[in-house]
Amino acid sequence: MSKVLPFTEANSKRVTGLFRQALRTAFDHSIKWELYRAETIKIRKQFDANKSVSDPQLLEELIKKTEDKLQEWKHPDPYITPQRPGGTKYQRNLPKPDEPIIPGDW
Amino acid sequence: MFNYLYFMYEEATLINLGTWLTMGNLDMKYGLLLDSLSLSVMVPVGMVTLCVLFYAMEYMAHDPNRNRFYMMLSVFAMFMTMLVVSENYLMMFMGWEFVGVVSYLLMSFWNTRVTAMKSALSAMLLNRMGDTFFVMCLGTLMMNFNALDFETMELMAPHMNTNLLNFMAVMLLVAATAKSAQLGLHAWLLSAMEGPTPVSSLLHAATMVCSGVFVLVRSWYMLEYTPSMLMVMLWLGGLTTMVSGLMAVVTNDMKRVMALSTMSQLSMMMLAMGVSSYELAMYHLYCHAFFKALLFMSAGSMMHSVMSETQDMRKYGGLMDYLPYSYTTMLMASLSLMAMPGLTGYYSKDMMMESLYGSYTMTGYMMYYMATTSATLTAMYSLRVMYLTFYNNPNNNKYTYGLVHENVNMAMPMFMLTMYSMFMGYARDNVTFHMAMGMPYTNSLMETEYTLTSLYKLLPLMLGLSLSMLLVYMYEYTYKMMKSPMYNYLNQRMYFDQLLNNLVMRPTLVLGGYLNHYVDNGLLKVLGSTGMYKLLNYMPVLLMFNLMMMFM
Repeated sequence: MSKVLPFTEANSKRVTGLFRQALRTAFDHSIKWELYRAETIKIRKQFDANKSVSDPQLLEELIKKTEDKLQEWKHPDPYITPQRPGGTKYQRNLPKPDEPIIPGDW
Repeated sequence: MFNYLYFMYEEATLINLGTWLTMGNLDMKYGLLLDSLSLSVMVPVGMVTLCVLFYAMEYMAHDPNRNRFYMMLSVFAMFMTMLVVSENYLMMFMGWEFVGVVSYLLMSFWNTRVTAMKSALSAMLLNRMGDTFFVMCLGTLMMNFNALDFETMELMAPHMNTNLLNFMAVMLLVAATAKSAQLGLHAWLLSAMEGPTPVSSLLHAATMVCSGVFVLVRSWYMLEYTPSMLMVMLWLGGLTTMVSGLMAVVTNDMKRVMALSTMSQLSMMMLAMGVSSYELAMYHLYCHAFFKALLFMSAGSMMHSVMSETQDMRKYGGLMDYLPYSYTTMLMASLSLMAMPGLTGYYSKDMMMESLYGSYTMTGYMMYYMATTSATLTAMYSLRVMYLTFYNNPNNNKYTYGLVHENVNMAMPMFMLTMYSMFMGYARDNVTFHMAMGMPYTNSLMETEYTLTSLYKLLPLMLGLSLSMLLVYMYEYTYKMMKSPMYNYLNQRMYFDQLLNNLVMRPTLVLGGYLNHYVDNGLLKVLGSTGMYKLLNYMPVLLMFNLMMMFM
């Protein structure tokens, strides 16, 4: 895979993805709102500390480190919004398709 | 009038509705046996079904397929009644099978959901495995007893060969293990939570899952002559109750915690049966049905009132001020489950644990400590659920909390069950002593009453209260984020599903494939259809050759 250069749109998408994943992982582990809030601030600080990294190699290392940390903290039973895939209301009472379910004139 | 509201003793009645089939000595009847055992189970079956139907009218009001739901729930009530009041094993088995089928249909009620269909199928298949053993037991009974009705069995069992009784008891135990979700065949109960909450409340907490225990209690005359099976039952119950308690303490899905709790209580009943205290097992079944149904209904009421209807407790918190009624009902059900003195659960559960110690056997002592640990864990996870949903700081957004409200129509059936969960324990002796009239009575109740020191009687309560309070203290003041392999292991239910799939299911499928290839389509064909066909095909040719040789 070609390297993603710093300060490009591709990189910000990648970093944003990791940030959101970090927030979700923090929520999965914390049952108290204050704890989650404190953790989000810490996560933001860690991301902010490296926001001006311009060396592509260092950037790759940091991304790898973040991914490893997220993998390490990955919750075995993450919170899934009920309507999302894997959630408790996903695919519940789907509307019937307009077209005939079995095509053809039987 | 109160006869319908709680069990009051009446003479046992046998109603003969006609003959089903007569084959040699075997005379099978359509019969209803209304004795203390069946009538005391009919009370929770009837009352909880009634309450759940009322509840479901509101809970499922917005579902497009609600008519199908109500119909299936009513059909379930019919077959459950058949299971309970039948006077022979065959009718009981019909009820047993049909409640399994209805359970499948209700679990897959939201049949557009792939997960729901998979769960229902898994439950169906695991239960079928147990049913296979039940059928084998029925066959053995027919062959050796020439009868399937309970009265004949009861009279003949003492005169039968112990090995035969052991064999039948093992098969019934496997059947009950599948139906009552004991360790090894328990995975389906957790995925059964895919069904709507009223289904979980009626089938997977109060009535259907208890039918395994009920069948074993019905077969007490067999079990009493197979002490080794009773010990197996003790160990099965002890391990199940411990394991389910450990798993429940770290589970975040509210309904799954309750399913694990059901599993734990069912194994408590197994424990009571293991020390021959059948009446206590039945009494716990009788009481447990009410408070567990209420627990599910309270959880359902809470989920229904929150916009996203999530089951994950991490999204709740602080609902005490928003849902005071659901809070009260859930608190009563939880305290009853935790065996708090004065509430229903105390009178059934505490007595069972004492009886384990009061059996004065080595296994009994070990099981007492296992049951005490399980009761402590029960107190911990019950209070954990309460803490995370009602006491904790709100974990959801403000808009969601703005829309939270109680539902009056769901409150009424919950009120009825709350009354049962609080006050029904006072009528214990009326129920247990009359049940004991038809079953062996071990005196363990009185034995423990007068010989056991207070320490052993109060140990479960003291441990449960102190450790659950400690848990709440830790959550409130010292909780911090951490990860541990043990948490992952228990949270993933000990990787039991994976182990079962990889060690049992897949090798069995592979073996099935080989059997199909080499036996069904191999040996049996060569010796059977194909071989016969070829023989008959070539026989005339051989004859013709012979004739030709003769004339040449």
